[in-house]
Amino acid sequence: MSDGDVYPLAILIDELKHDDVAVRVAAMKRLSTVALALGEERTRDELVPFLLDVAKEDEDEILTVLGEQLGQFSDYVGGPEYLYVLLDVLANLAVSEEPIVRDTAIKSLGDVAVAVPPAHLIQHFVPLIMDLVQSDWFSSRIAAASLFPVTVECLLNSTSHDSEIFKQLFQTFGTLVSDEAPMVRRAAGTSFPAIIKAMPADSLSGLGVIAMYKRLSEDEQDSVKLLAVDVSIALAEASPALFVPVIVEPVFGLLDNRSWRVKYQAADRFSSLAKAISLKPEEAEKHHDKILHLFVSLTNDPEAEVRTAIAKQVVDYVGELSQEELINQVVPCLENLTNDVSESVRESLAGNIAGVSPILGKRDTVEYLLPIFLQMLRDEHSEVRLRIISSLDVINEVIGVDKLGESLLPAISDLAKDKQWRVLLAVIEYSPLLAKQLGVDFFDQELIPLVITWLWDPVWAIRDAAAVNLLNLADVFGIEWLESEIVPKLVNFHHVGQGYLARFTALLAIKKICHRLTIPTLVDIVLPLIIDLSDDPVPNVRFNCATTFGIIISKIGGDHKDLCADDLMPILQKLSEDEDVDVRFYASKALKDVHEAQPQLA
Amino acid sequence: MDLETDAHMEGSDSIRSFDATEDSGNSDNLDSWLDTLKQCKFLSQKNVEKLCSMAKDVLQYEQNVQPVQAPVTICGDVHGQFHDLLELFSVGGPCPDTNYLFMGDYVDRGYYSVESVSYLVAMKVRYPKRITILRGNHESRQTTQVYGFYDECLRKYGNATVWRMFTDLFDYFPITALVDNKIFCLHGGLSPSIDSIDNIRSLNRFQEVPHDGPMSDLLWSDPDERSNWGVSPRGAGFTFGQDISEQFNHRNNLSLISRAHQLVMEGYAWSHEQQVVTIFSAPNYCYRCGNLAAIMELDEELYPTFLQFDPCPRANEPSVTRKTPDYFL
Repeated sequence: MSDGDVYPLAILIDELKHDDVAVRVAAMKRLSTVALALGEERTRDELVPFLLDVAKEDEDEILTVLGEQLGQFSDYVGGPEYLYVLLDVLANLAVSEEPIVRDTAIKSLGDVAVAVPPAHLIQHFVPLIMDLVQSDWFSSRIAAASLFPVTVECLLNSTSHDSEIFKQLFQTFGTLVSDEAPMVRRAAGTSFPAIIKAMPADSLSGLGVIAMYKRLSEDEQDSVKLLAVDVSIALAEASPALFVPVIVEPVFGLLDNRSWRVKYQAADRFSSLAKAISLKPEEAEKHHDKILHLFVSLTNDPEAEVRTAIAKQVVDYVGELSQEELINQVVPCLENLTNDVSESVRESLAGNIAGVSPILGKRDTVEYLLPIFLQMLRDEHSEVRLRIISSLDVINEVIGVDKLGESLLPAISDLAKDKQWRVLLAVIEYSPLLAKQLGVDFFDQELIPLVITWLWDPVWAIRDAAAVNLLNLADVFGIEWLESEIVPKLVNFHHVGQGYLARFTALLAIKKICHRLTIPTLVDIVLPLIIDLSDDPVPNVRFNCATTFGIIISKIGGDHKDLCADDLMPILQKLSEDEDVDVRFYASKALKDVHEAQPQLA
Repeated sequence: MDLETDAHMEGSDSIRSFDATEDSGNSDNLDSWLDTLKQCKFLSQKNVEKLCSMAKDVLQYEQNVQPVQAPVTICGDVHGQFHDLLELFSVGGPCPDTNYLFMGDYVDRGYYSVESVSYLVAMKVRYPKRITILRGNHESRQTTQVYGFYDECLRKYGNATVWRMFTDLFDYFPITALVDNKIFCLHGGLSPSIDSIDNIRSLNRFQEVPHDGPMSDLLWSDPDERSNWGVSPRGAGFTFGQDISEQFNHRNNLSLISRAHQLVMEGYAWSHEQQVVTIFSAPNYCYRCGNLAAIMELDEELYPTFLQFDPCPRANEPSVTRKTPDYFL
């Protein structure tokens, strides 16, 4: 063996013994390069045994990288046939007490399981899991529980599986579900839904899953018990006929639980749980009232977190109910939640409640929901207002323009003066839709003053959005509207104030809209102002003038050649020799743009 | 596989070599860095090195008392809260349209010190006339080793080189600024060893912030309700009373001292009968203080308008989680 051959492994060993963790991490990240240099055989015979030693001692940071790398190692050990050589190293990582190391190793083990030949699955992989389950150390059993779904899936996909092996696997899984360590039971509960989904539904009851499910839903630990929520849904979906009758009682128990954490988890999945039960129509009918009753009591739960969770479920759940139930039972709940003391409950409702109005229909929305919307539009918490405003278009479609103008407009006008700039931004973004529905007369009367105020808002993002909004409104009302109603007010900015911000803001708005204006307006109304501002004492005004000149000259150069050549180009030329570096930069850029658009002016 | 992570951190076109010496070449490069940073991705080590050397070229010619023209928007502590820094620009307007003066403390405490300081320095190099960045007491080797910037550099780059490059650059930052000869801006406050602004001009600022003496005081002192000079509870700098501020403003023909350095719940606070204003631009400081942030817009007549802002709503920053750790089971 020559020195050249030893080199890659030797240097890796050296670097992995370095004192600095960062160096060791970097070395470990280059693992595949080392493997490539060594070749497949020596990777299997020398590198992997060495890594087994590393896996037993080094720091978590390095082990995480190692776990990650091994997931992609198939090519370096010689393909799927040889992947099993990695199992020992990965198993060592998968039993780590550190969750990050454990999780990456488990993920890589999953990748390996998918890739290995079916025979190896039974020969190497299943025994590995059985060993892990037997271990005294809880982290091994957690690893085993986490590996079950992928193992089951891979076995099902391989052609030659016999039912005996599943019986054995599920029996083992059953011991994990009733393990003495809660962490292990939790890992098993987390894996449970995936296993149910993987298996053919008819074989499930023979494998003892019902007993395991019952065990889980009655676990003494809240954080284990709450996992039964997802298992319930998975079971019902696997076979409604077999499992819906089984889950009904446990689900009611979870929804009406002493522990708020369990209740929270169940409330968070309320509509899915209700749907799961409704998969079997006779059960759904039998328990309809009880489910509605549970919904109502969850909205009155003493814990704010539970109410927040159930408020999110409103739209998905209430579609199943009759109009009478909606009005008599659900609407009072919504009213309560609107007045909830907790901001997060109101926030959660505000983000969802608009979806109820199509279900309720126009007449009842106006009667029952509109007061709720109006109240939420005036909520003291800005996020609530923002969420309602952002969903107004849904409500619009249901109640139509008259009701909107009558009831919501005053509230919207109030919001347009909101202190929270993001609320204001939402109102601005909503205004073209309002424009479309209200029509030009009504809009001019009610909203033009607001549109103008926004242009000079103290917050830049609002001023900018207001300028962009002018173009959106012009799409609705036409350019003539923009030029007759807005542009004169922009040019005549002195009513806003004499200060720098008044003229600078007017200039920025003009810069944003001028490419859409007609040539007469540009020449007669806009240009005098821009020429006036081009020798402003503030450089920021001058360089924005330069850019605006560039846009205007490029547009009018054809029709007004003399004006441009005699009056405008010299100004731009002068700006390109300004004392300020940024004015020079933007003026030169504008000159370049003009020369491209109007070569005759060069 | 190799260690070069440029492509991972930046758009591929920003890796092109930095040979262009003419203006436009530089600004293209800087614009692409600014785009990268705006997405809260940090620059590669190589590009930080280039950026710092370009910044030194700009900053070494600035004065200890850097003259600034109004209109300008004055900002206080940022402390690595990068998303809130972007919020600041949303409220105040983007640079170069708005002129800015930052009064130090860009790094430490927040999770994105690297991004915040890189962004401001890149902005400074790109628009040297439109933005001024002063030195705060956290722009120092000593402080950053304790309060997070050093660890963040180590975490993001795997070594301390970037920290070294930035802290070397901090020695070049101007320590005070003077807006239209009327408003005196600095991070901390006044110093008993400094009577007139000319005293500051004669300091040698190109060094690590010393433990004591005039340069340290300018970056560490606080105004106080008690008159005269007092011992600062911070262990560096002094406290100074209204009498001191009045004397200093009168002697130097100033209308206002504008400074940062202290958390104020409304984002700004007047003191000493409007002789001194404190501005703090990190909302919900340290992600827990619940304070508003503020910036001060000065128009061309030096009339101040304060803009307050809340933290930017964010999706993926560490927050208090409901999940119970294993050991509670």
